[in-house]
Amino acid sequence: MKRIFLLNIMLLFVICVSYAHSEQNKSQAKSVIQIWMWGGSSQNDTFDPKPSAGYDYCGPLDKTILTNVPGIEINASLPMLAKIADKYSIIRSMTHGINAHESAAYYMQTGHKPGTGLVYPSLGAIISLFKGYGKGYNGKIPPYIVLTQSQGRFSEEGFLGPAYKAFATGGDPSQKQFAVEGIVAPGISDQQQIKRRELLQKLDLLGKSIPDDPDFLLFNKAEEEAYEMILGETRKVFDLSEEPDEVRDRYGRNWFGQCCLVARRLVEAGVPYITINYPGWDTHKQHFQTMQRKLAEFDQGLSALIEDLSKRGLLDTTIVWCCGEFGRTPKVDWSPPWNGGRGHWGYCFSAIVAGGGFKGGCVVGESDAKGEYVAKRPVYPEDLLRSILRLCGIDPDEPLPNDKGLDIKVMPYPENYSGEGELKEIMKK
Amino acid sequence: MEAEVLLDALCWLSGEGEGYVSQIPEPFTYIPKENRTIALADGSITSSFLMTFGRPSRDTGLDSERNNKPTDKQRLYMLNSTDIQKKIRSSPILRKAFSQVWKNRTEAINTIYKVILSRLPTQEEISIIEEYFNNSGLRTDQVVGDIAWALLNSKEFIFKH
Repeated sequence: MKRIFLLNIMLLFVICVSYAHSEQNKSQAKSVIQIWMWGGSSQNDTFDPKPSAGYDYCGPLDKTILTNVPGIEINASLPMLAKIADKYSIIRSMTHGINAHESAAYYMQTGHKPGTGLVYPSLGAIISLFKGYGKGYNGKIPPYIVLTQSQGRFSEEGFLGPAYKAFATGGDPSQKQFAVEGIVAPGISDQQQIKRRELLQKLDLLGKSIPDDPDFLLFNKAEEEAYEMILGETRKVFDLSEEPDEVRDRYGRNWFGQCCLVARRLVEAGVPYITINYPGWDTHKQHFQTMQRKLAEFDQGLSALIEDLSKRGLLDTTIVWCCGEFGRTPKVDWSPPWNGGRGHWGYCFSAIVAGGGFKGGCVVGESDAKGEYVAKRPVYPEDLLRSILRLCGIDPDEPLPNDKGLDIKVMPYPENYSGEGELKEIMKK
Repeated sequence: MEAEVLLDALCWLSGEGEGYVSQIPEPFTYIPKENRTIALADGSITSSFLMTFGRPSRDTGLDSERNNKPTDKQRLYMLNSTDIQKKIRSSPILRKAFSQVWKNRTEAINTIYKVILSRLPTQEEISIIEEYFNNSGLRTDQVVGDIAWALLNSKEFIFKH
């Protein structure tokens, strides 16, 4: 009797474990889109408005707007994002206290402060290691894509090596032709591509004289793969002329809007990690003029992306995270030479996350009355990055495979860590 | 060809060196453009070209660290990058051949072969190229550019030099 009882318990346990396991696989995020507001965007003028702090803190952007989630208000500069606030969550207490672009950008994307003697891989490199080639992804497009210009050494592969480096597309998707580096060559028609490939093959006398040389065979195979990208189906992912005009208009006919649209198409193609490296947020001068222009395109592009992913049923398996390396000084500097500018501010800033197992319609943490310091629930870069990894099915405390012989975990908490951990309050599991 | 040698050859062709900056921050080390890549003393100074073409990071000092196997990213770069496109178009040496083409087509083909493969073309090659001139429907400047491009992408250039 006792044995049967034990057996039953064990069976139940096995069922529970396997159920939990399959559940986990089902809800796992497949792709991540990172919208990187390079330069650091203002928290006050976007997701953490402080209208009661007065003109010195708000400038002309002193209105808030009710979102479609009761109790959540954001800056009135983002009316379209206000309508879909149920689809994303706002973190108002991001903090790391670093006010230098390079160190902050590195920390925000690797989860490590610089200066340890090692260059750590960025989140994109880690995800392309765990979800890229040989791990279920076999697309021709590289697994870690940056639209459109590389961030350089602040989001690199680190000690993981060049195989996990980001592929920067170059070009501009809002132009008539999106000239993706190596794939779409401006000024060379398909006809010329085909013709000159024939010329190349005809002139290959050396190859023809030793047809089964192993190096040549490898070379030919690599060339075929390259031509699959240059002339085959792969490049169509980048061809926005396949999209209806209404869709392209909804995203906004500018660089950022069309990058968001390309990002959606890359998600559909199964690419695990896409960064939109969105520059221009380092507004020491001309801050409010720049905000008025940029926030309109930001609002339109990002809201279109989240809405479109949701409509296509992709938001459940796609994480969108959006922030810069830090925020901006809540108090506006009206004195010359800034004349109404905001400086760097790493003490407290905002980020938003959507999809892939993150709940929508929530606010994490709180800033003080002027948006200067964290009042409740500090969120450190490693907390956010660990949460994203967790939702991608990667345990941040498991070993990070590398060929350097380093005994390192994927993204451990630092020594003397004093935070409150991963964003459990907005994670569905 | 090894990564550094290939890059030096391409830079020589384009008439302009790469110029390197050290990765280790402040103060940056700037390597003048006249310096050749093969003479880079510091293994940490690198570029995406060198990494793509298998130049090792010199972590171990073993020959096996270098990877000379062809990859599709390398082919993509050589076949279709704006870099290669620019290097062919701006090459002072090739420009001479490009201007010759109006006077003496065979002389121009000879020059391109001598510049890239260090030999004269065979009769068979000349007739393939003549056919390309006559039947491809491309402009003359496109044709000479394509000849240089085809030779840079030939196995003879990449494996035998």
